[in-house]
Amino acid sequence: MDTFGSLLAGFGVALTLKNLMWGFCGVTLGTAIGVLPGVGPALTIALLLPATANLDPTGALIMFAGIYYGAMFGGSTTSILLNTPGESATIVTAMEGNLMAKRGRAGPALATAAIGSFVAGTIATLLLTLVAPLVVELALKFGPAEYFAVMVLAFTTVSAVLGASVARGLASLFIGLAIGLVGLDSQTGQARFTLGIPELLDGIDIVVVAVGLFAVGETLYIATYLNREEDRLETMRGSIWMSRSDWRRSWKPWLRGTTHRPPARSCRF
Amino acid sequence: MSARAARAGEFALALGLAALGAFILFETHTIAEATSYSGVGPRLFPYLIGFGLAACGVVLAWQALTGGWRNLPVDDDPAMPDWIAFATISAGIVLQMAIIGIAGFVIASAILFVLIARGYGSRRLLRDTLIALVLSTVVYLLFTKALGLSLPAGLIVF
Repeated sequence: MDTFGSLLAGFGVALTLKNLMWGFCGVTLGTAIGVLPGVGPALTIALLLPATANLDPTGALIMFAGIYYGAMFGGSTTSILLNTPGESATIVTAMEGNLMAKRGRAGPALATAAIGSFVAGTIATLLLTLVAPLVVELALKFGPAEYFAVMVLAFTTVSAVLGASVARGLASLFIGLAIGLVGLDSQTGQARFTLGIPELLDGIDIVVVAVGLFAVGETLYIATYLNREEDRLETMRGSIWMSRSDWRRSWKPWLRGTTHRPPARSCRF
Repeated sequence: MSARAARAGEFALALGLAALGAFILFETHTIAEATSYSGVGPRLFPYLIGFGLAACGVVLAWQALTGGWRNLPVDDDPAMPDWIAFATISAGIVLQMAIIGIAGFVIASAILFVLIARGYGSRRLLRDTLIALVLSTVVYLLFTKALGLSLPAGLIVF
């Protein structure tokens, strides 16, 4: 039960006005920098490290946490509005959120992303505090066979959302895998497909692929095919708040997101 | 686009996929083989992926020859493609990549902006150039001075 006691003591410290203000600063800064494509949470924290130099340790850590969560959320803004995901976590946000934005429902899309991020993050952090020792046991048992099984799961899941044509979907999957092959083999250190170019030894970054696929591809497509029509301003129709049916449809995905975070966080270490 | 032209395009794309698969299979020979446990080494996945790509290319080529790719999403109003716009924007992207090392971020990005604006139909070159230079300078200063990252400086010294 001392976990609960420590948790409540932590809330007592965090909910003072001064620390809440540091949290607010951190979240604002983190969101502002996280919006930039390619600048993910880790890089944001590294960049904003000097900003916390003059704070006491508690305030600094609270600000770091705010920066981290702000950066994780900030990537969804460009994904929804510009169909340009900044990092790999927001690619699915781009696919679905941009469709909502095109129908004038950008407000609810952004609101869902924000509220979902808040709900899932809060509950997940609470659960992580309580459940961490157990999950660490499980994470330590993850061996090479389990990692390979997770990879197979990922590929079969991709096949399930391939859409109409299996052949085209599998071709996309293999093209993605081929792009991932470039660089050094992590097991043996052999250079693969670098064609003698030393810059390719690090592989092709996911941000380069995301920008090329989404931003460049979209620009070329619209210029070639869709530029004849008059520019239509997609105003936000209806309210920017989420409607009641939105709330009803969203709470289950929010809770599902909560269950993914603690295991994923432990497996990262 | 006529059905014949569409199918020719699909066939060419499928051939390109198969060629990519064949290239991967061929390049795998140049990977130095490391002695490893149970024959699984750095060559295994390139072989699998190359074979998979070649197989997908063959299947898609066969589909293209026998009536077009299956289950294509229906385009309600297919417009004639504007290849000049495509070429302009592609030139902008390639030019930026080519000269960013020599000319620096500000100039290369300004050229990219102007060419993309031109590709989208803007005819006011002076206005576009001014906006491009201001925008790239602001972005450059934001990233280098405010955030401490490094971008190629090239010909302009701040």
